[in-house]
Amino acid sequence: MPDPVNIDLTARVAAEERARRADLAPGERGIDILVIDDQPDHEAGWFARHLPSHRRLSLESVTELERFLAGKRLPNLPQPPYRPELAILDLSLGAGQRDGLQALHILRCGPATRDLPAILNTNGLEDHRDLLAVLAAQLNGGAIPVARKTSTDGPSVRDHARRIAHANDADLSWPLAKAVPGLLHVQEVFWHGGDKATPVSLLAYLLDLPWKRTYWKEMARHRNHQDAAFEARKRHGTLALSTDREIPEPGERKTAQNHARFVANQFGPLAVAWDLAGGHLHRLGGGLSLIAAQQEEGFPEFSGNRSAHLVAFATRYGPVLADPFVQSLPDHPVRPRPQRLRP
Amino acid sequence: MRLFIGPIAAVVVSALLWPASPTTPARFVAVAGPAMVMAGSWRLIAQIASQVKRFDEAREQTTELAHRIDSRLVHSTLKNPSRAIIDELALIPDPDLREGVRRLCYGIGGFAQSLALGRTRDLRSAEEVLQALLSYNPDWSARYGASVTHDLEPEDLTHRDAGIVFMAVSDLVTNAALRSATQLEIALTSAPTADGSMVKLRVLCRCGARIGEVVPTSSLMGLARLVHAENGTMTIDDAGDGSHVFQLTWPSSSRPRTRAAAAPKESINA
Repeated sequence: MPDPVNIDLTARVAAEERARRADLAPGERGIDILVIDDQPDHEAGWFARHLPSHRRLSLESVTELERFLAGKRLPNLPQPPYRPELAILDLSLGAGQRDGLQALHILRCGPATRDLPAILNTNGLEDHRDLLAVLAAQLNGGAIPVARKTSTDGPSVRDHARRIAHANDADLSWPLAKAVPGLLHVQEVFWHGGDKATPVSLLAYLLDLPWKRTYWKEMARHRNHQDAAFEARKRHGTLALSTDREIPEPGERKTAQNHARFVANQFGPLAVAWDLAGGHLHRLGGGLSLIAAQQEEGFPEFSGNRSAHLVAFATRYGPVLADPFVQSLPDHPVRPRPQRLRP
Repeated sequence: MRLFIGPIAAVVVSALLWPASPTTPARFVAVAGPAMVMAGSWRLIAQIASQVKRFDEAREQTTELAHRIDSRLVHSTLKNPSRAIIDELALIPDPDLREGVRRLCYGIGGFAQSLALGRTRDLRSAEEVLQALLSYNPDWSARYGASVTHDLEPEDLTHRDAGIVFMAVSDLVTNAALRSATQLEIALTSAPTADGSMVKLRVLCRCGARIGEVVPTSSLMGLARLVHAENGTMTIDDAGDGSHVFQLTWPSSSRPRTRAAAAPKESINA
């Protein structure tokens, strides 16, 4: 019978890593990359294939990130010390778990990680995720790069890591909101509601008043525009009837209709403009304008039914806007640094 | 508790009325009245309890029916096409892509099983992963259906643990089955440590062949890189008699409990 053989694959992997680090071009170096993802390197080893010369600090939840930042030992991490120079955040960290947006918020609030460059990692910005990306852009100083776990985006992330390492070696600060060549560049969105209006942050416009927050919560719960508007007014009483441009009439039904009309007047133009602009916040390039929407051919007919557009908008984004964490963001804005783009 | 409200109320009412009812008829009313109230309340409570029970049963039946309908829908729209793909996997030349597609198909199989069983989470334990991949091949199911000897509670495993278990079990079992292994044993265990536990996955495969040179592009090296990135280890013990043991260990932040190996779940192949 042939002799028994023991094969230690871990030793081979460690040898591979050492060889890769030794093979780095002059001036290149491997960095620590903080990866917050609820799965191990699942997608056919995306990290291993595209960032092989860097050390992966793998965290699977926001709770683990908090423990890491508090200096607690995490058994799955390699030997300390750790000096992360880039963070890659998965946008969704599992059902019922705090998401990548909250992870980014924690990074931006921590003195040690306030200026840590971050990339959002997701395989698509469909549905409500594009709003999450836009909010992340706001937390990140106005814009954020978004990478998919694909062979197309992998080399761009690798180049990005190399540039960050060079900047750190030269003791230069890295502008967080800088666009990364080859990656999607999602910007914070500003709403421009008319000629005389000043553009305001979309987040502030949607959530700056208590009745607005109640409205999104009720829409997320019941998906009934009229009931949500009525509930928002009943609780906060901030919708003066005089501003409804309607003569108040007796009867609850009429009153409820007035509330619904007020809310539709408030958010309807934005919802119409969003729809006419293609319905994807992350593709707007930072601005959503009523004037631009009015120049669209279909605008008059669209404007006839603002409530329907608002319901479509709320159906997609209501759950995000109703989230307690997102609702707290306007009260605790995080502005790490003004955007300083390099020439 | 509800059953005692009527009798207690009847006793209290009797005690209050007795001194004020000196004559026999009045005393009869004072006793019989509360007794009738008590009997009536029992009957009412019994009726309501019966209705609630029926509602619960109806709700469970409706939920189960919805799960079955969803499961059939997944079968017709995803599982059957993925079965066709898995039969033709050899046509995909790129090994990474081929393994990715295989795992995707297994994931679909697991999703269909989750729906059928009313489970609302991803595949976690060794048994769940095994049953998901065996659902694609009735022959494999008959031969390897009872291969899990030790398992951990799925609810106690983290996403990271579950991801490694999925990758490792699906890869090692597929390799063993493709080599017509005569014996396959899978043991997922854990030992507590100071800051969590050390999870160990041990797969014994008796396929009659020896482990050859493990090339860098092989799926075994992929698994080794996966656990190494999580501060884990992977070894292969080739006994030289046609059997070999793959062993992966990695630290977990949780302390999963042991789970008795369950009997194979009812097949949901449609």
